[in-house]
Formats: sequence, structure tokens, C-alpha cells
Amino acid sequence: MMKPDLSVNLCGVTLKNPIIPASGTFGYGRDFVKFYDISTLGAVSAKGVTPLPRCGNPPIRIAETPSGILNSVGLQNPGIDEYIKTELPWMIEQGAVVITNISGNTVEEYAMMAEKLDKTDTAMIEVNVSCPNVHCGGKVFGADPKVINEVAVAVKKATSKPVIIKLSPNVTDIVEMALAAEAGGADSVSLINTLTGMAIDINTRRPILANLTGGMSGPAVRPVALRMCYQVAQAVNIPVVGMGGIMTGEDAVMFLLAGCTAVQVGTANLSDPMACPKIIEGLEQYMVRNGIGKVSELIGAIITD
Amino acid sequence: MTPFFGKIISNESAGMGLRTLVIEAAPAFEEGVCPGQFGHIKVPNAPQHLLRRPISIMDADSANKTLTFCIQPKGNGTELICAMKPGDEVELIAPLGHGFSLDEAKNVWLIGGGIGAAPMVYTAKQFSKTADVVAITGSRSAEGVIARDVFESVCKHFVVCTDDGSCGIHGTVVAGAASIGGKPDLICACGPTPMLRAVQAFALEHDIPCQLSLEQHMGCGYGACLTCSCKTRDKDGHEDYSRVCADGPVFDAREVVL
Ligand SMILES: Cc1cc2nc3c(=O)[nH]c(=O)nc-3n(C[C@H](O)[C@H](O)[C@H](O)COP(=O)(O)OP(=O)(O)OC[C@H]3O[C@@H](n4cnc5c(N)ncnc54)[C@H](O)[C@@H]3O)c2cc1C
Ligand SMILES: Cc1cc2nc3c(=O)[nH]c(=O)nc-3n(C[C@H](O)[C@H](O)[C@H](O)COP(=O)(O)O)c2cc1C
Ligand code: FES
Repeated sequence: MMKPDLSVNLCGVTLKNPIIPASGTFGYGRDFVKFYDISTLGAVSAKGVTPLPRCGNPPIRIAETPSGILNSVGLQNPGIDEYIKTELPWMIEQGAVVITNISGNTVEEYAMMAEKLDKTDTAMIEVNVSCPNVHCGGKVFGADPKVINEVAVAVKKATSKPVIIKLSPNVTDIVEMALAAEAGGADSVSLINTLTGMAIDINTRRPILANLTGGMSGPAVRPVALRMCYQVAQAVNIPVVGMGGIMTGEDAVMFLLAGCTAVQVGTANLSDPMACPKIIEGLEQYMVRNGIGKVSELIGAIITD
Repeated sequence: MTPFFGKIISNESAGMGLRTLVIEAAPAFEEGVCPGQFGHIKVPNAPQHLLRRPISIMDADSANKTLTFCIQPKGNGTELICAMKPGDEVELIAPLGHGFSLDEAKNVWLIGGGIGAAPMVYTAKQFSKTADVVAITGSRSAEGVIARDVFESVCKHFVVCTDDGSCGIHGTVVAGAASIGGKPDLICACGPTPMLRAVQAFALEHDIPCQLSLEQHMGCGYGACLTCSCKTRDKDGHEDYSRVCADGPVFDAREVVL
């Protein structure tokens, strides 16, 4: 059989394959080039940037839970200006298709960053709405459909780049949030961000994370993530980028079948720096085994009758 | 660099429940192994443990292409690693991080508290090629003194300190260091934070160059996830977080905020 075609079209951008390392688990790629050529990835979602540099939360910032992890990095990053000056051009020089992940505390901050990115070579902008909104008593943007809509409208106005709204799973109805993003003009939605969790050391009686709570990710969240991706893909008419616990090519296939156009791989990168190349290979082998010529044939191909 | 499988050559008791594992690790020698670097070891046959366990390189044999690790079982991860038998294979990434550097020093003190003595074994072997090395290790009792034979054979002096006085100096490594007298031109230390704090204060007070090896809970182990932070201070007094895995685990004592 011929080599299967893994390429997908995401918001008008052609990706070599649908595998994208997830924001925060790939840095700006610098630590991966000693392991593999990052231009072989579909795209990369860069570590979240904010208007100003942030030093992040005090340690301990990570805890292991059964088949999962909790993290409370606290958006440590060099700020949008430094990112645009050094990190973004460096990734592009390596041949990567870059999705810039932005986090703000006001609608204006998101719009300001999108405007700055408009003149750069980032392929897309991913808007992380799992951040506290200072104008709403710290309630996260992603928990209110009205606010999601406002952010989507403001970011779309500020840039002509494709905009992906990255949804938080810490809501009652994620479909409502996805529809709000779509109504606001988002070109795509990605999900899921981490689920808020906690771990306690019973010997010291203290929380393991200095921040008390953290974001849970990894295979433990995969069934929840898959269900959310499926429901969102059923409801919206824009492409869905799925993630949550993807460790293997087979896991990636599940998300494609559920209706995702591409997938992101987060925690798996922490277990194994070679996770993404292995997942691409696993996906390709699945296609060969099943006689599938184009990966697009898998998207939304779940059978439910 | 790439993660690789290494065969366990031996797994022996090192007293006090510690295990010494010798692992075949040819790929680790492609770029050379520095004292103070670590291996990030996958917990074998346990996919529920997503994270690897960082373990200092205790010794590196470039002729036989093996790495030696000394492990204190703490929780399930280290217990499973310590339960491996000769012939079993374990997946690891090594060597990682920035280790100790001798620079031009001629007279070095290596201070290791508890399991922190492990990385000092390879450090002593390497540094003693061109410098006079004094090793000072601390443990709870005589049974917990590790690698005595190596330290005794390569070091100019070997000072043992025990909490219970069952061997050597009755007291901490700082008491042990004070007992030597004189002033080295480099101190390297690894051990519990209170010990590192005392060594840092001693070195700064006496204006002795000093390198400290830190521990932190880690994710990736190779610099990408920013979970392994420790507080550092630059020359202008500006504080920030550094990555223990990639910027460390060894830091200049002047820049670490403990
Ligand atoms: C650079 C470095 C070098 C080390 N060298 C050695 C060594 O040579 N020998 C040795 O016995 N131990 C060493 N440690 C400590 C060792 O990594 C931990 O004891 C081990 O990770 C505990 O795992 P566990 O599953 O047994 O314990 P658990 O408590 O069940 O582990 C739960 C989680 O917390 C993490 N964790 C718990 N304690 C520590 C710790 N002290 N440091 C980092 N992560 C921790 C684990 O990695 C795991 O992710 C080193 C740590 C670091 C950072
Ligand atoms: C250490 C770490 C840092 C993260 N940082 C960010 C971030 O900066 N921005 C963001 O949108 N998501 C961030 N995430 C969430 C991931 O991108 C992803 O949504 C989540 O981990 C679920 O996927 P996974 O189970 O494959 O890890 C982070 C996750 C981890 C584990
Ligand atoms: S453990 Fe990931 S950056 Fe240090």
C-alpha cells in the first residue's frame, strides 16, 4: 500500500499531520531539538504567553496522580514582546507551524496580544480562556458563554489570523461554551484544558502543590475529554482540535473518529520526549493496517447506530 | 539524545534499605557523562506512573558503558525501580542536567548528606585526577555510609559524620567540614535543604566558590514543562525561577535562594 496521507487542513492552514504538542508541555521547542526535528510535527502550540513576563507559581508545581498529573506552573513566560522577538522567530526558523497560545486577564489584553501577533508569522492564535477575569472577580473567562463570546469577537477584530478558542472543561456544559465561541467568530475550538484537581500528602497533611490546586491532565482525563470533544464536534460547524490524555496513535485515532480535525498531545511529552513522533508513527500504522489512504477519512467517522 | 532501554547488570543492597543498581547505558556515553548529572528513570511496568524518577548518577564506567545509581526506596516508584532484577530492562534518559564543574580548582571539598553522597562518588573519581579532594559525608548511622571504599581510595581525606555517632564524627557534615580546617578553593554539596543552606552560609561567609545540587519534583526532566522550579537570584539581586532539571541540578551557591 502507498504511504497514507496524514495531512489535514486546519482553518485554511495545511498541516503535515494532525499531531500538535499542546501548550505548556513543549516550551518553545528548544528542549526538543536534541530529540527530533520539530518540523516533522503537524504544528506546535507554544507555551502560553501573557502581556507581561510572569515568573509563575512557587514550587512544588507538579504532582503525580494515578494515570495523571497535576500542574500549577502558573503561566511562567517571558511576555508577548520577548516571545515575538526571540521565541516565535526561532520556532519558525526550525520549520515549525506555530500556534501562539495567549492568556489574559481582561478582554482588552487578549485583543492587544492578538493585534501584536497579527504582524508576525504565527500561523494561528489559540486563546486560552482558562484564566481569571479581573473584571469578574477572578471567575475564569471560560466559565461564562457571554464572556467567551466577547473575547472571541475582540480577538477576531484585532487580527486576520485564524483564531482557536481553547475551552476549559471546568464547566457544566462545554457545548454552550463552544457555541458561544463559534458565534463570536472563532475559526476553531480546542479542548480540553486541564481539570482543576488537588492532592494531599497524608504524612505532612499539606497539599502537595504549593498553589493548593492544579490542573489535571493525562490518560486519567481521556474519557471525559473524548466525550466533550464528541459533543462539541456534533454541535459546531467549525473544526475541533481535541486533546486530553492522548498517549498513543490509537488514542489519537479515537479523537479523530469523535470528530476532531487535529489533536494535541500534552502530558505524554512529559513522560516521553519522543511521544509526538511515536504518535504520528502509530497513527500511520493504524491507517496502513486498516487500509485508510487519507487521515481526513477518519475525522468524524465514528459509527453510532 | 533519545530515551533508551538499559539492562540491569546488578542490584545490590547498600545498607539501610538503599540499593545500588548498575545499568548498561551505552547511549549515555555518546556525549560524555559529567559528575552531578542525573538519569530520568521510567518506573518499570507501571503505566499509571506517568512521570519518570530523577536519580543522580553515582558512577559512570566509560569502558564498560554502565551507569551506577544508588536509590533509597521512598514511594511506589522507587520501590518498583529497586525491585528490578539483573537481566531486566529499564527505560531511562541520561545524562541530563548541568553537573559539577571543577574549573581550575586544586583543593576541593565534596559534601554529601544522606543519599546526596551518591553523586559525590563519580565527582570524587573525576576531580581527584587533577585536584586534591576531601569528601565529607553524613548519614544517620555507620550502616548508612555509602561507597566508603571509593572515597577512601581516591580522596586525600574522607570524613564520615553520623547522627548517632556510631562512626566518625558525631554530628552534621558542617561539623565535619569545620574539623578539617584550612580553606578549599571549591565546595560541592548535595543533600537535604537544611544541610545545603548551612553549606551555602559557610561558603559565602568564607568567600569560597561553592556549587549546590538541588532536588525538585519534576515533570519532563529536560527543560520543557517548567514544573521543577527553584528560586534563583541574579547579580543585580533580581529573583526568578530556574529549572532544576536543565539549568541545574547544580547551581552556584551565590545564585540559589534556599
Ligand atoms: C536531581 C535529583 C537527583 C536525585 N537523586 C537521587 C538519588 O541518587 N537517589 C535517590 O534515592 N533519590 C534521588 N532523588 C530523589 C528521588 O527522585 C525521589 O525520591 C523519587 O522521585 C521518589 O519517587 P517515589 O515514587 O518513590 O515516591 P513518591 O513520593 O510516591 O513520588 C511521587 C512523585 O513525587 C516525586 N518526588 C517525591 N519526592 C521527590 C524528591 N525528593 N525529589 C524529586 N521528586 C520527588 C516523584 O518523582 C513522583 O513524581 C533525586 C531527585 C532529584 C531531583
Ligand atoms: C505542565 C503543563 C503546562 C500547561 N500550560 C498550558 C498553557 O500555558 N496554556 C494552555 O492553554 N494550556 C496549558 N496546559 C494544558 C495543556 O495544553 C492541555 O490542554 C492539557 O494538559 C490536556 O492535555 P493532555 O492530557 O494531553 O496533557 C498545560 C498542561 C501542562 C501539563
Ligand atoms: S522537569 Fe520539565 S522543565 Fe524541569
